[in-house]
Amino acid sequence: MTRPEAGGTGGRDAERHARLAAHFAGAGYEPVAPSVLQPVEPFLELSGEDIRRRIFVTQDGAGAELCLRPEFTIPVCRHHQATRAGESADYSYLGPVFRLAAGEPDEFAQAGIESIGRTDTPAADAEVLALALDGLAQLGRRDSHEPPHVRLGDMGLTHAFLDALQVPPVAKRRTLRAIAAGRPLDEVANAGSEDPHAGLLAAIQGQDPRGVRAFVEDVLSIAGISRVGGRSAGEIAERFLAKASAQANGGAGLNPENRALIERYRAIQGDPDAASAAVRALAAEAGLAHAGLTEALALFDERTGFMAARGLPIERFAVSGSFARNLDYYTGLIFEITARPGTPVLVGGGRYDGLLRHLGSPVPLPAVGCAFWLARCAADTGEGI
Amino acid sequence: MATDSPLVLAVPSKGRLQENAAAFFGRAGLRLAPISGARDYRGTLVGVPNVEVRYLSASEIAGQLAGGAAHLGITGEDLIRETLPDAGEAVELLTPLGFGQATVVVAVPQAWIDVRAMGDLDEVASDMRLRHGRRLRIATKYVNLTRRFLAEHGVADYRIVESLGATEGAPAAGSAEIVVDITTTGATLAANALKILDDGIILRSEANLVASLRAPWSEGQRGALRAVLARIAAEERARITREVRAALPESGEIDLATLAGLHEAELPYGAPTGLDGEIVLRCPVDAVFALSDALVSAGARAVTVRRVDYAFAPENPLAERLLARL
Repeated sequence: MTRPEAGGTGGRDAERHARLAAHFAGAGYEPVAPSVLQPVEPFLELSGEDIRRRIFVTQDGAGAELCLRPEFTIPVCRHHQATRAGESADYSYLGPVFRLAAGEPDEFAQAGIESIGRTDTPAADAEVLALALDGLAQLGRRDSHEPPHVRLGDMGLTHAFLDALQVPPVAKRRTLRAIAAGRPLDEVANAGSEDPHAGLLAAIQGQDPRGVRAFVEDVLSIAGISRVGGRSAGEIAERFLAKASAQANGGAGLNPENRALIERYRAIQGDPDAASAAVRALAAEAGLAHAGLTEALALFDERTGFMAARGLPIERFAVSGSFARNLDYYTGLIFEITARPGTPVLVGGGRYDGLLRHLGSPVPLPAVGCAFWLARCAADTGEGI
Repeated sequence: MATDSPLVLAVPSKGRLQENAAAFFGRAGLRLAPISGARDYRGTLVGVPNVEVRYLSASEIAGQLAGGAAHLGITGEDLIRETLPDAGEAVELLTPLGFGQATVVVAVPQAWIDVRAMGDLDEVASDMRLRHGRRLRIATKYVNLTRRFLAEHGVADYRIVESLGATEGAPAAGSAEIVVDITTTGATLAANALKILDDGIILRSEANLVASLRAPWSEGQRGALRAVLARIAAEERARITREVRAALPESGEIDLATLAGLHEAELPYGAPTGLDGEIVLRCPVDAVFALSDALVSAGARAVTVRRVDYAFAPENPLAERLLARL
């Protein structure tokens, strides 16, 4: 699977890549080579329809949709699910992936590791980050005289913070999406445009919710509607009522206090210890006493401890409250390693505890991993930049 | 570059679009004639040399214009925007043609009384994902338009189910929750118990005369282009204007420049000379009565309005706009 990528990778790169693969294998990560052709379904389900623009889709003889793997994590997890379902295992990989991107090669090489099933979450997180940094050193990057920039985020902590604020589920999901996309929270906070049902919504305010719900369901059933477009009459009634109560509270999205607190959370920057202290201070100031948040902060600090114990330069790591991505995928630590702040990602990774369950694992299997963009980790040619 | 290969004009091969396209060319004095032996696939423009007419489906036309296999074509703006992600760089929409109107809309079940706008849809989609662990399904043949529109509205929790016919039936059939489809009156959607979201209009489309920017444009083909567009422009200029004639007031005094300026009119033949001269103005259709009244008030006599068939002019805005981009 070490096919040279378009553009010509010399023997020198092959040698570097082999060194990286040996490094992973030496750390106990068993090399696997999942198939290039993968069912498209898990990618669409976990990344959203929008990814279809960026992947190569084809069909098998029976018309089932396949794609050229756009990354390795889902293929490796499918391989695990097919061969050792429910067990723990550590894997490494190296090979081409395929993505449609303007101005970049459609085929490029990635290497990486996936650690599946370990329950010592903070230690596993620290190990994967350490291997990522070691691996980068093994590749002998061109600018290796400068230490790389490490950006950290914690999807678990962000989830817990929103839970502590009691942001309702739908608003929470939309908030996370706005954070991940770097968009303002306006769209979530918006009360929405004028509703022609406003009068009716106001009238049912304060009425017995069960009675109102039964009434709405009755109206829909008189119209001959039991279940239309995948939503039951009860569901429709419920959201209709939720809108009514939200309208009374000034809008369906985030309330202004929560919004202000989320903006402050999002603005938190600093090394892991400073960031943790900032979140604690914010929570204390807002009077948030929430078991989930306490737990997430404890995990965060414990992970920082494991990183320090491995000798990682934690004081140089940049934690950011605004760092979030792939909300259906990452559940805990996320990280990005770049040459300098703002330059293309050399290694990206994170914890995805829900993925194996989604792929059909009978038991919850936590997992964490990272991927190297090998072409971006160009060799030190001695010519400088 | 070969100067002898003809300009390729792609014309819809079926149904109302074909009839309307033929009528449009007919009005411009361009008669489509089949080439004998070529069955129904190819033809010529009578009296315009160096043009080959190809009969294709409307969606094929969009693709051929994008690839440069056809120089000019008639197709819907919806198909152009759907087929070409970079429509602005591949083609030039020369002029809307006033037929083939269709609006591409987002429609949801009428029973969704809690959903009126895209913002609601975003919430329902997120809710469905959280509650049922699956994404909202959207049936459509406009995969790219849908994706772009939903991204603009920040809706992410959805899946597209490609539908190549009877899209409006998908929610009732259970293959999707909502649809993105074309509608003219909304009647078909209503008959399928669907309603259009308040801000769910993706595109108001009609048939357009479209030119390819990627086709080879030899001198001969440019010449054929000017000939075709000159007739189309002459017909368009004639269709949207009226000629207003009048005799000069007995006094001979009338301020034509001011009158013309006030009513968007022009004096195509200049100001009349001599007392028995005739005033000839050309103005937009809507300005006819105001201009006629003003002429009468100013003392002009025998004001008549007539429709002209063609109004040729040395300048050809359609061709100039296109040639400037080639």
